[in-house]
Parts: sequence; structure tokens; C-alpha cells
Amino acid sequence: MNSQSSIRNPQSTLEKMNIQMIISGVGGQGVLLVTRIISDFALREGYPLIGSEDHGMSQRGGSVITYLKIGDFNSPLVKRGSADILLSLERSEALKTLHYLRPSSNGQNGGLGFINASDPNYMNEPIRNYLREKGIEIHIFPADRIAVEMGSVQSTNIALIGFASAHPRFPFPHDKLRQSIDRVTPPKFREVSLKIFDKGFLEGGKSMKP
Amino acid sequence: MSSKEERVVLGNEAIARGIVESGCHFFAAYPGTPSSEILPAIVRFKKENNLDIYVEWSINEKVAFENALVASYTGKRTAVAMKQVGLNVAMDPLMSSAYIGTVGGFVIITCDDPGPFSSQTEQDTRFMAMFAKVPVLDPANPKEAQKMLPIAFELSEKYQIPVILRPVLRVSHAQQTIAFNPIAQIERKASFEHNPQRWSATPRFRFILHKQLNQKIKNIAEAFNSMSLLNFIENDRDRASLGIIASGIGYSFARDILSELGLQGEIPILKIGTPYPLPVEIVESFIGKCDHVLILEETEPVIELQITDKSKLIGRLDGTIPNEGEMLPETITRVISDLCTKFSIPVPEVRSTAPLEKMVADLGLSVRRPTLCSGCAHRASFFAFKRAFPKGIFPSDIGCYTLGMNLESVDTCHDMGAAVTFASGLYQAYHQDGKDIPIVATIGDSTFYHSGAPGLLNAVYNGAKFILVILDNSITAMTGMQPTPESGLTADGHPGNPLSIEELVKGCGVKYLRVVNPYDIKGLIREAEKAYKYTLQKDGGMAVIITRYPCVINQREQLKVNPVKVDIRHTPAPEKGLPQVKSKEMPSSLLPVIQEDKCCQCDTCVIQCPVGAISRTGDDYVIDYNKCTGCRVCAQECPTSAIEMPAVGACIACGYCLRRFECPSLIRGEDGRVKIDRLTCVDCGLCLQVCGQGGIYKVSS
Repeated sequence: MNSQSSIRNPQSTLEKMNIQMIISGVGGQGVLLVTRIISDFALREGYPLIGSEDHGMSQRGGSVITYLKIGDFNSPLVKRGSADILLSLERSEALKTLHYLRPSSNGQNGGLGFINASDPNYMNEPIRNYLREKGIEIHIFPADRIAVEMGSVQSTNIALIGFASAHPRFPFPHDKLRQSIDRVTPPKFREVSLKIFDKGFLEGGKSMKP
Repeated sequence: MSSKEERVVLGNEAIARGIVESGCHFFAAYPGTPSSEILPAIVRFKKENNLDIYVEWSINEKVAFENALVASYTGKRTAVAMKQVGLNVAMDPLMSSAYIGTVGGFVIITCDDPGPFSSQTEQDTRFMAMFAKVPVLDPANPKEAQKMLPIAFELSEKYQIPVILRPVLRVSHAQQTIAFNPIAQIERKASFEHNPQRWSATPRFRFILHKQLNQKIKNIAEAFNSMSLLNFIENDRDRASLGIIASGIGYSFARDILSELGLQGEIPILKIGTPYPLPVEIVESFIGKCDHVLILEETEPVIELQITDKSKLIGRLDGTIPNEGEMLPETITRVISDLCTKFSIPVPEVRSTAPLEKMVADLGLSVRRPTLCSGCAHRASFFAFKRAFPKGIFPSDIGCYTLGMNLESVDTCHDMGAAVTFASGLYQAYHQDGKDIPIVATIGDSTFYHSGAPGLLNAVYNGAKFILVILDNSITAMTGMQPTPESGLTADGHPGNPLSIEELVKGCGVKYLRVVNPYDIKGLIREAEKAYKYTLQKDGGMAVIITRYPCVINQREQLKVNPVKVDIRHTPAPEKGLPQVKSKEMPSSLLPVIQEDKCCQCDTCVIQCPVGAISRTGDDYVIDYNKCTGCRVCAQECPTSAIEMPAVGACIACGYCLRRFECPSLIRGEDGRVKIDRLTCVDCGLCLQVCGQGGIYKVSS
């Protein structure tokens, strides 16, 4: 169970939020922790959340995909072509879940994807062109390398959210996510998680100048 | 703004919350995806709020059902939870309980698995409710499931009838923000009233009870018409060209899709929370106002079939909604959008993602299949038994170990306990023809307690002779580490009485029993061969081997005590292509040679040789050294070690370990060589016993 509990924050000054999101990866990569961080954020800020998780058979090393919807939604699944955000912890799983991202009609402000991969050009030319045409913006970042360098290979997920939170169109504010990480991660990993999150943010700021 | 405590919880936790908020006194369950998280959440609420609620993990669903049912006869509020196929196991008491009824509220939570994701069928529990004649509630999301539970208990008490709550996987495993309501404190002391005419009714009274049941269902259907919390219309209007009747998850999808398409003000929805008995009055009046009605319900046309006049209906019966698989938002969007076009309702174009999907599909990315974890002792067991009996038949069962399929050591997986009964049926079928072949049934400890033991009693009684392997990892691993009776821990962590599998097996009349540590693969192979010999003896019988080693996920620490670091020694770097040895380039002393005196003429080498270099003429096997690539597959597969081939002492990338051992930590690198994935390797050292080439070696500490 998520041990998160809260009385709604009445001071929340953020605008109304309607965000659909996909988190993909492989069993054991910590997809569920990302979900928990975002859930904590939504709960604190008083945004209703609904989503879906994989359990059982799919946890045994298979592909894992989590759907999250923040705002006025009733159903837990995100439809293909509807996600505002994709966070993917694994390069192949990222490709397999790319089609969830929302294409735009004018080639601008489509869905935003953040992918953990070492080679920034690992997607082939036709796919990259297609995404560009549809206004889908993809950022590739070696989150696992950063996490390993900073001494916690399990925190690849945290490095990737840190990176994403530097993007001006990423809907969740960096400082609020930081507070959620502080609350949600087990005490043993808390300090290193926050360091890795900040490092990801720093790298994101460098590579995604507005 | 509400000042109630809010939490983001899993659907099953929302259900648990609904159960405790209803003042439930007694809860029993058997784990099964997607229902397993309900009981642990009840235990947490019990501890957080210091509640007096009896909670148990039962041995199986029938046992759970009957325990909770009879507790309701004492006036208490009780509930039971299981997955949809678990209700098959509990069908016997369900059918009878509809007739007999309840005293205190009795609610059955059955989680369906459309897809299916973790089940053998996509069965729709709402049909089971209709079959048994008990009311069923179909929640649209976790929040509604929580809200429906107090209603379910009240209904059950008012009409003295069991009530089913049927969440689907997308409700049970959804997560949603919910508000916590106060927990009802309902004082009920156990008081069983003697009434043999009811509690042990004879067939004559059963007839009367059936009549009463029919009347109850009629009254409940009537009442449902006016229960607007469960059944209501959104965007009601006098006339509509298209309306939607939606139940459960179908309603959630319909709501989101209509709002996305900007049609929320255009198309009225009749939300049905009670698919059986159907509130016919409001359904018919809604249909009367619409020219066409789309029905969205998961998984079978339960509502659709109950509507007498089907002339306006669009749904599963006419094939508009697919009749198998999970209902997906993409499908419903397309259906609604097509219907709007057809009935001249303006609708925005739905953007296709097909071109991108095609581009990705063309990359031919491998599908990640689920696999046993690194270090899992089941892998060692499966490897050993396949090695001992390459031509055996391997009936298996339901649990993590179904994944033994990847190691070609699982031939059947049918339903809980069927490993044992399938093995005995197979034995008898072959034995009838005078043939005895190695039959090795594998079953987990929890599944053995659940329903394996009756099959074993039957096998012993009827003289079946096969090997039964009880894979004992001392936990119910697949569904999330629930305790088994062996541990002696009860559902809320209090000590119960630990049971012994050995005693149970002996009690079933088995004379041959061995307990083996599967991490000793070679020892296990020897034990397997001995057990088979026993089954062949004239005075032999059933042979049971318990392979006991704790689940590595549950007891990671235990492995860390004595880690075995391994590495792979490779042949010198190849100039091009795979580092594979060609026989022509090999010294003749390294080529495979068949030892005729050891050969059992099983043809395994002929079948397994990847290049077809081994052929059989009469009793003779010939190796064509022009074709042989020196890959060693024949030497490694031969069950009697009749093919001699000196080890190279290095990995030649033959792939034997990848195929036969299938450890997720042994991977093929981009250069074709086998590598160890250090991220996932748990240092179990099992692969040391697998590579016949001597390529995997222990790193000295």
C-alpha cells in the first residue's frame, strides 16, 4: 500500500491540471516508485488521480507499464495517442510505448518523452522524423549511468524524473517533486536519491535550454 | 473542501477500506491475482485502527467461503475474497448459500481478469451470480467499490442473501485518490440459532427455499430500480439518437471517452451498478427514449442477454464489441466515433497512431516474456528433472513455477491441483497399454495444500506410480508472499500451528519420500533417477520428492550469507562472427564420440543437434564430423552421458545455458558471447553446474 496520506493542501495555487502519463520499463526497474512519487505529489496538491499498475505474472521480468491520469478522469487506462508525458526506463520499452504520446495537429506542443538510454541517437531516422512532424518531443538521457556514478544503480528512475523536471513543459514543479521523493523513498536511500534527483535536474537544465 | 483524510490507494485497498468501513467482523481469503492485496490491506486497517476483525488466509477458496458463510449465520458481518477462477472452487457452497441465505451480511468479492493477464480463463463472475441467483454489484473504479461495500452488506442483511462484488483487474489494480470514511462499529456477538429445517434443509425444503429465493431476486430487482446511487442516468433527455448503457469499468471508459470527444452533453449514459438482477424498469424506459443503445460491459453480454427486446441494441451480441480480450479505450473510442458518424452526430476525427506503431513493429524488438527470477530454486529443479528424463511428461500447476515452461519442463498447466491428477490419469492411460514412461508432476507448496493433496490420496489409493515433486519455497510467491501453513504464521502475523508437508505426504499413504536441496543439481538428478526406479519396481509406488529452498526474493539475505561469484571464460576473440569452434579446425581429440555401451538409444542427440550432424541407422548412431560445429549440445543433452567430449574450458557461445537454464542474468551480448548481467545476478552459483564446457567458473574470493 502507498503509505501516503494527507489532508488536502488548501493553499494549493496551481492551475487546474489534466495530465495523462505513461511510465514504462522492465520488472524490477522501479517503475512503481516513480508512480508513488507522482501519486504523492498529486495527493499533496489536491489533484485527483487515477492510474493502473501491473502485478502478478508481469512482475517477473516482463515489460511493465503504468498509466497515470491526474485531473478529472474516471478510467485508469491512457489511450494510445493521448499521453502528455512518457517516462521510460528502458530503451526498447520506450519504443514500444512511444505511440501513447499525443501527436499534435500543428507540429508543436505534442507529447513529451524522457527516455533512459546511453545513445542519444538510438532511434532510427524515420521514427525521429515522424515524431518531429507530430510535435512529439523526445529527450534521451543516460539516467542509469548518472545513478551508477553516484553510487545507487537502483535510482535510475529518480535520475530520470530529475532530468525531466528541468523541462519547461514538464507539468510537475521540481521542488514539489523533490518533497515527494523525500517523503516516499525509504530512509536508507533518501539522501542519495535527492542527490541523484538534483544531478538529473542539473543535467536536464544543461541539455534542454528553453 | 473536505477535511477527510485522503489517500491514493490500490483498488484492492479501497475494497479493504470499504469492508472495514462496513463494520465487517470476519474476513477470509485465498490469494490469487488480481485479488491478493485485499486481505493484507484489511490487516493494516485492523492494526492502524485497533479493530476486532478476524482475518484468515484459508487453505483454498471453498474453505474460505464456507468459514465466512457460516460465521454470518451467527449474525456477524462477514466477507470472503478470491480471484474469478477461485469462485469455481467455491461454486459448491455458493450455489447452496443462495438457497439457505445469510443472517449477518455476507459479501463475496470476486476479482475478474479480462485479458486475461494472470488466469486460465476470462470468465465473467456476473454470470456466476446469475447462475447462482445472487445479486452482483459491478464497481466502475476503486472509489465506487469502496462506496458499494456498505450497500452490499445492507442488501445482504435485508434480503438474507449473499451479495457478490465483482471488480475487474482494472478496478482492483487501479490506483485512485479516495477519502477515508469513518469505520462503523457494529456490535454482534456470535449467536447461532438452531434451525435444522433451514441449515440442513432436505430436498423437500430446498424446493421451498428455491421458491423463496426467486421471490427475493424479484424483490431485489424491483428495489434496484429506485436505488439511484447504483443505477442512474447522466444527461437524461426525452429523445436521443444514441444512448449508452454502461456497467462497471465500461462506465469509466465511456465517461472519459465522451468527454475527450466533446460528446458528454450529447449522449446520455445509463450507469448500471447492478447487472444482476437487472433493474428492468429503468433499463426499458431508457431504451425507449433512444433510437440506438450501445452496451458497454466487461466481459460477457450479461446485461444485453437480460434485455428482452434487442432490436435497438449494439454490443457484443452483434459483434460490435469484441467477444474476447479486455475492453480497451481505443476500441470503444473507435466504436463510439463510428456510431456517431453513422447517426449524424458531429464527432472530431480520432488521430491514428498506426504509422508509428508499424515503424516500431518493423524493428522486430523482442517480446520480454516473464521468467523465473535469478537464483530461483525452481529453475534448478526444472533443469535437473528435464536432464534426468528428456523424454518424460511433465504435468505442472499454477504458480511461479508455471514458468518452468521456458525450460521445457512444464507440459500442462490446467487448474489448481491438476499436476497431481493429470499425472495419475496419464500414468493410468499409459499403464493400460502396458507402457510405463517417466511422469514427473511439479506442484508448489501452497498449491499442494490448496488442492494437491486429494489428488495424491487418489493416486495412492488407485495404484498410480509416478514422481511427484513438491517445489517447496515456503511461501506463496507469485501472488505477493503470503504465508503458507508450513510457516505457522497466520494472516495477521500471529503464530498459528505450523503444518508439515512431510507428514501430510506420509498421511496420504506415500511410502517413498525424499527431501532434497535443489541447489545441489547433480544430487537432485541422482535422486530423480532413484525415485523413477522405485516407481518401476514391482512393489514400488508413488515417489514424492520435496525440493526445499526458500524463495530468493523473499529471503535475499539468506543468499548473501554465502555468495558464489561466477564469471565466464571465453575462447580467444574471434576474427569474425561468433566465437564458435568449427570441428574442422578442432583437434580430433576434442570431437564428440559416442560410447555405445552407455547409449540408451533415446534419440535425444539426433533431435537436439542444431545442425543435424547426428543420424541413426538401426541401433547405430553416426556423427558427421563435416557438419559438426563442436557446439557440445549433444554431449550436454545426453541423459546417460554417453557422448564424450573433453571440455574446452571456455565459453564457446553454444547457447546451452541460455536455452536450457534460461536465467535472466545470463544474456547474449551484442558480440554473440554469453555474459553475466551483474545488475540482476544474485550470486547463487547455480550456473556453475550447468555449463558442461567449463566456461563458467567460480571467482575465488
